[in-house]
Amino acid sequence: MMVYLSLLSTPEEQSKFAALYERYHLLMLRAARRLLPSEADAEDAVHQAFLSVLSNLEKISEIDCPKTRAYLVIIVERKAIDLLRQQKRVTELDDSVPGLHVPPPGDGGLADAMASLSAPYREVLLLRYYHGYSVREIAALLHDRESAVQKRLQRAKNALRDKLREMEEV
Amino acid sequence: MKNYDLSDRALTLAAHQTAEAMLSGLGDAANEAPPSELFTRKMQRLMARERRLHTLRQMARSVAMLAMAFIAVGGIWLAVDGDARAFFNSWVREFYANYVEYHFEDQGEWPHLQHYAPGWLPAGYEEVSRDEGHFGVELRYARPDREEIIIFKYIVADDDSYAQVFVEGGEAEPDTVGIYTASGEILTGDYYAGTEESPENTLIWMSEDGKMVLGINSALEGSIILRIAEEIKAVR
Repeated sequence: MMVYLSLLSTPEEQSKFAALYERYHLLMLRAARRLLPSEADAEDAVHQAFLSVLSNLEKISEIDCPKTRAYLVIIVERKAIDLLRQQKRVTELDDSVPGLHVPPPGDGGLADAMASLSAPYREVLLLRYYHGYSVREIAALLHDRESAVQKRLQRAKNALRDKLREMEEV
Repeated sequence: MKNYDLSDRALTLAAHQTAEAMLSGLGDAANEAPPSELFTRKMQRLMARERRLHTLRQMARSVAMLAMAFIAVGGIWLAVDGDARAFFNSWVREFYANYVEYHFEDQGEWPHLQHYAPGWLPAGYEEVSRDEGHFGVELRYARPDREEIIIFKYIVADDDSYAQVFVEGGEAEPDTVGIYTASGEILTGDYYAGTEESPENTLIWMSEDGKMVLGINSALEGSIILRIAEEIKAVR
């Protein structure tokens, strides 16, 4: 069980949080609505995502940038998948959960393969290689154990190899 | 077996392309249907709370803890749609899909932190950490030969404070338990049982005067947690 405290925010963090909400809540709702059939669940996932953002506000340096946008989408996707898992009473993280559909970037190679991965694999790869977070930071962001994140990263790379092989055979 | 280039450089490049594709796949959300009033109120309350906490912090001139949260991995919260509330010893509970949020009545006066300490702990447990602010304290107790730690927290029960119990991955509902204090009062608390997967249990309750909210979180048995709660004493 993880226990955390919500600490008071600095004025900069408080205005950052409000700005993030104003800027991105509709984007996050859009992502959640694509994954969750119930509007109430979609809003719950977004609310949960913002709570998570609050506890890691220092990770966000700029409000209006692609990395921040991507980070918020990843977090809300994760929360939506968590809700789906609970509703389906799945107690183990199901690495095959597809998540959001990501159109292939079109490189015919590694990027296309990464985009087609399931959400749990795609999210750790993006947090590691797009955002540049360490395994420890990713574990804190996702409220996971470091060993679980490390394992998922390795499995994600194995899944990439499998995808690349499949793409070559087509 | 063919070797594919999965170097950091290659993965970083691919990740950039994938992130761009993910965002462009979502499109421009400017015309997305707005959220419900309930959601907007929840978020406004969250932001208002952050603003108020900031003001209090400036006045207190130090980091304070005005909220505490226990995340219980291992329980599916049986959700009640929307904004179900239960008045319970001057706290208000809001039930969401995977967590419960407690709000407290405004005391109408400046919050005063009453300190507490356990009057009893299982043999061998000693205090290993203390995190104290103007409005709340977290204490941790451990025993060298056991994995289970005991986390005891208390905060002022004020309009600006809140408590959250997250329940993930299993099925749980709080049971109402009676806490028999040394003074002869019976306090009522919410007890969240852990699961085989995530055995930590959580007990949350309010002080006799309704001015403080206290919580214990541990994988030790519920009966032990209850006894600790019953022998908590006010100090200083």
